[in-house]
This record gives sequence, C-alpha cells and structure tokens, in this order.
Amino acid sequence: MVAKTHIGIPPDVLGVTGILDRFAFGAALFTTPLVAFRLTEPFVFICLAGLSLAGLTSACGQDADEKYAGMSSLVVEQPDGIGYRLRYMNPPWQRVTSDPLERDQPDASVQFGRLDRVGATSLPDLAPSRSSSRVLEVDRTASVDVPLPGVITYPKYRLEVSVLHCDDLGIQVAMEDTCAKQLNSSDLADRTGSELNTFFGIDGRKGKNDAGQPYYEFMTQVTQTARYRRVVYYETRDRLAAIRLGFEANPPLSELEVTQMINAFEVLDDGVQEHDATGAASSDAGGTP
Amino acid sequence: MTRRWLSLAVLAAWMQLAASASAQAGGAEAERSTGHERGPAAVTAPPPEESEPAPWKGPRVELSYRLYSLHDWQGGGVVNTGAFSGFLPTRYFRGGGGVEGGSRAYDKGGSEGLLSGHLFAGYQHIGDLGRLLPYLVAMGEAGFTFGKRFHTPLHRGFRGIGAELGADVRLIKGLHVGVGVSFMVYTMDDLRYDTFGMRLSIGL
Repeated sequence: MVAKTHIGIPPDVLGVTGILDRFAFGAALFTTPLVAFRLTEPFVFICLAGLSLAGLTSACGQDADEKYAGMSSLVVEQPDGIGYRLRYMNPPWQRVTSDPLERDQPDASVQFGRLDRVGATSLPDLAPSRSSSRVLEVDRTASVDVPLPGVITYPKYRLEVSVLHCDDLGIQVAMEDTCAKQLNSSDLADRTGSELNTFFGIDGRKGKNDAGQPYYEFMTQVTQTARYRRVVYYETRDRLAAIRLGFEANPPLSELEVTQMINAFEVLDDGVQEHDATGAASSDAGGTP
Repeated sequence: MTRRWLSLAVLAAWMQLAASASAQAGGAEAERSTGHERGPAAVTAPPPEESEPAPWKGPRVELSYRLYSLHDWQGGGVVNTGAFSGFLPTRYFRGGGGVEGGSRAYDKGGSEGLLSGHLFAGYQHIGDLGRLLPYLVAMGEAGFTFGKRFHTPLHRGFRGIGAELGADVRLIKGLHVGVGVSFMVYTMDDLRYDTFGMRLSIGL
C-alpha cells in the first residue's frame, strides 16, 4: 500500500474573509454611537476601539455553524480504491489502536448473524479486508478499581468500521443485488431468536447519508446483556464490496447522536492513506474534516 | 497622624457648610431679585412640593436575564441565563463585572448547564436625558458548559468578547429597569460563535 498524505488547504485558510466580514459588521453596528463618542469622549472612544479590535481579531476558529464543524475525522483508503471518512465527536469517542481488528490479528473478525462464540450459527463471523478496520469506543463513566472475577466489562459505546468484500468471503450476491443489501438481510435474519431485531422493522431499513450515499441498517438488543447493536452496511461503487459500521452500546442506539454520526460517515471514491485533518499522520485523528 | 485626619475632617465640614450657605444665599438672592412685588405672605410661602429628582449616578447592582445563541452543527442551541452584576461608582465610565448561570439547549439530548463570569467597561450617558441612561460597553466573558454527549459527562470552556448597547430607565430612586442588545464573538473548542443577544435587567 502506498502511503500518501494530503494536506487539504481550504480556499479561505486564513479566515481573511471571515475577519473582514466581522470588521464590516462591527463597523456598521457601532459607527453611529462611536462617532458621538469620538466627538464627546475621545478617551473612552480610544479604549473601546482598542478593546473591540483586540477582541475581534483574537476570536479565531472555525465557524461553529459550518457542516461537521468540530468533528474529528478519520480517513481510510484501500489499495482497491474503496475507502471511507469517519467523522466523530472527540471527546467522548476515542480511537482504540490496540484492538485486534485495528492490528489485523489473524483471528480478528466482525459479527455476522449470531455471534459465533454464543452458539451454533450458519453464518460465521467475517474477516474484514486487511488494514481496513478502525475501532472507536466511549469508556464507561463508572469505573471499578478491582476487576471482579467472572464479570465482563464493556465500553459504554463501541464502533467497528470495516471494509468487507463479498466475493472474498464467499458470499453469493444476486446480479440485481449489492453486497451491502445481501449482508444486511442475511445478518438480520440469522440473529432472530438470540437478539430482539424488530426495532427498524422486520427487514431493517434503507437510508442515505448527508452525501446521498445509500446504506442498509438494522438494530437489535441482546437479551442476555441488554446491550444494543446497530449495524449499517454502506454500498460502495464496487457492487461486491460494502463498508460495515457496527455499533454496540448500553444506551439505545436509535438516538439522534448516533444517527448523525452514521449520516456524517462518507464512502470515498478516491481516498488517501489515513491522516488527520491537519495532514499529519496520527493514531487518533483530530481537527476538522 | 490623628491630628492631621482631624484637621482634614474639620476642613471638609467647613467646606460643606460653606457650600450649602453659598447655595442658600444664591437662592435667597434669586428670590429677592424676582420677588420685589411680593408681600410678607409670599416670603413665608412653603416650597413647592414637586422638586427635580437628584441626579442619578447610574446603577450599582443589577439582576438580569440574558438570551443568546451558541448554536452549532453538533446540536448546541439557545442559551438562557440569569446574571448578577455590580457596577463601579464612576459616573460616565460604566465598568464592573458579574457572574452568570443558565442552560444551553442541545438538539440531540438534554440541555447542558452554563456558568460564566463577565467584565465590562464603557460609557454611560448621565445627566441630560432625565430618567433615561443609555450606555455602550465592551464586554469580556469566560466560562464553561457542562452536559452530556453520548451519555457521557463533558465540560467545555469558552471565552467571548463583544459589545453591548442599551439603556436603563430609572423608576423610583435608584430602582431601574434596562434593556440591551449585544453582539459577541465566542470561542469554544476552536469553534467560533458569532451571536446577538438580548438582556433585560432590573437593579438598584
């Protein structure tokens, strides 16, 4: 894999336009009283003018109303050109670079249908494409200093993002279907019985992200642990490839924060090697998309 | 040292007496110059009941409600706060500070709390507008919000600077109400919030 680092420079990187806008606006707003001040109270005028200028020039940053303002961004690209941009709020989300999925360990896999270790299943868990997986977690708020024997602790939220190739995995896809659609229906159907799976309808549902890219998704709840799972399969330009987002959490995953995160996710046609928004290679991307 | 203070106090008392005597003499002179037609009854007539109120020296303390917006793409929204402010007794110079607390709406969950402190400095027009006291001040503010994102407690600091234009109206003695509009530029987590605000206040 060839590593490339792109440094994206937006057209108004120095924010010159924004600063000029603010100066123009401030001038229009305060011109009248300031003229009066200038004539009657020159000392006060000088003080106010100095404070205002200092304040307006020191208040820098991205406009909070801009799309995806304040979101961290993680970009992953595969040699075959299928990549994605994951946008997330940091904090509380943190990347887990030590996760077996991220480290491409041989036994690392993502759940497909019923979880393999829970019981017999006709659908084995899937091995994602090499170096395509990223894992984010939100730690539990409560902490236990001494781990209790036999008690499994989960993060409050966990997200796995992976690229899956149906042809490599031996999954048959009908000519009129896509890998994403096939994975969604098979995955959902096999969980019946072990997970409550009717939150988004018996067949899941179809949606589109902010960029208009289609995905299929469903949500379940594990009866033993009461944890929720929300799985999203994004279509890609390759009919036989899909990008899987697997959320798991204690709180309900149908909440707007999660939906916003799913819709901010983006499938990339021509991507770059993982980098953060500042262009520097990093383990946990920060900054703005 | 005690003798020096005593001397100063006596001097101040004398100056006060001299000033009041001078004012009385001036008043009597004016009365004589305009009342040459009056008889004895006119001299002993009671002073008029309605007199001009003493000049207002501006507000000293104030409670206020403030409405502005810290809206962003992530779901932050309108801010409602209550504030307590104190003013310096500096006549034309309007300066002081206060503390502020309230809530900030969050589109995708429960509202978050907000605590901040502010300082202001500027001009207030005392004197020739009767009960009305317009002002224009530069404001600086710093504080933090505390709420939850993804069910996880999160607090974020912010700072802001801008200006407020408004007017106070005196009701009785020092009791006054006021209204002001502000334009502030806030910075929180490297995001910039340009926002208008409105303040309603009551104070002494």
